Amino acid sequence: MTERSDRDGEEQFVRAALESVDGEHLPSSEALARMESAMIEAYHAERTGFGATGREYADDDRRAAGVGLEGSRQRRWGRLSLVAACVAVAVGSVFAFRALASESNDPTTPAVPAPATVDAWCRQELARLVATVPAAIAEDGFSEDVQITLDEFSLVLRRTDLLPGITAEQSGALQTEFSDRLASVKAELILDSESQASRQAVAEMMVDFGDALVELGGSAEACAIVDR
Amino acid sequence: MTSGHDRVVGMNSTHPTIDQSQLALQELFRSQVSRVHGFVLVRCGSTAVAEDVTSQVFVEAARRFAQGQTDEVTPSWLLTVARRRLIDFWRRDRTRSRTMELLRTERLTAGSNDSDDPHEQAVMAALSSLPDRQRAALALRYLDDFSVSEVAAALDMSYQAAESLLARARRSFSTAYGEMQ
Repeated sequence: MTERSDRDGEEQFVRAALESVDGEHLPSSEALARMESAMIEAYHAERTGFGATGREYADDDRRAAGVGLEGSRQRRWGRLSLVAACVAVAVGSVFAFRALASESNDPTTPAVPAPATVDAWCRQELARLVATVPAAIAEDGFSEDVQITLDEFSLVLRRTDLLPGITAEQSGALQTEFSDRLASVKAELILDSESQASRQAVAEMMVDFGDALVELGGSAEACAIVDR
Repeated sequence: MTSGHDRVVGMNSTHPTIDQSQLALQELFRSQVSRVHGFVLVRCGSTAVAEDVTSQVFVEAARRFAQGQTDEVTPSWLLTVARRRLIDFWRRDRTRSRTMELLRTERLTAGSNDSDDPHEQAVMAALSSLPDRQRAALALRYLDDFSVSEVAAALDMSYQAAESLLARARRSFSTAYGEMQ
């Protein structure tokens, strides 16, 4: 009896404590701007048909709502665009880190990232992404693991300001580059729809990515996977 | 290789006009973003995750608006989508320990809110000290009024495991709260 009342008391305490902090919280102004920009982009993408990268998410919602999917064609292209998005994440990070490196050579920019830390971390993350995503897709198609990797990399990019020597501004630049590259992939894919040119665009990105990885000193094994 | 970025800029320039639907969407964003963000932040304890999830929620809202389904997008719909995204996040969380390690530094400080109230600060600090699964279980059970069975289903575990997790979470929270006071 005492044990039961102890548990009830503990539950009441925890519930009251949690409810006392459950309220509104405004994000930072930078985050607000990013969110609104992404929202408006998605709005126009959906209205004009430039929204392929988000198709898998839309499908999830329709599935959850019990509404039928729009067909295999859309799913196929949603899958392809997400593969491309994975590549874009990697390409974007390469370009962003290159930008950081070039900034560090500019005497007018005082904040210099710690090259050893960032370079090693970047190489490790790129190699991991390249090794993980194509292999996972080859084995299981667009699996949850692929989505996890994409999400994880996005989170890592966002928190680069936690790394020694990286400023919040530089971290923000990474995010911008990341968003731009994702948008580029969307444009490449949708402009050409199911054409050979679209597939070619994705293939070229893979080659670019492989080249960039070699320049950064990525592992030969990882580059070989990209080349397949 | 053709620059996709240039194409995007070009494409965006073809639809610069703001229609009524977009204005309504932006108004919805401005009026609800702090609510959605606060909802997510107290449940996940990470500003980075909270921003990601909040952004996903409003991207989904934007798609509904673009499809003309504006009536669907109510404040409670936004929170339902946010909760679903958080549950997705918690389920995946088991496989992303490396990322969580990176976020840990931020998490410890992000737990504190803007309040000057020592009680609220202690609650947030105690929440932040919990492992992610314990925090998720407490949030679902006591903030979202999930039954133990629903908590188990959401976190992909057995009923007994959910009960055990909740018991450990309550103890950890109470202990941590006591230490913060």
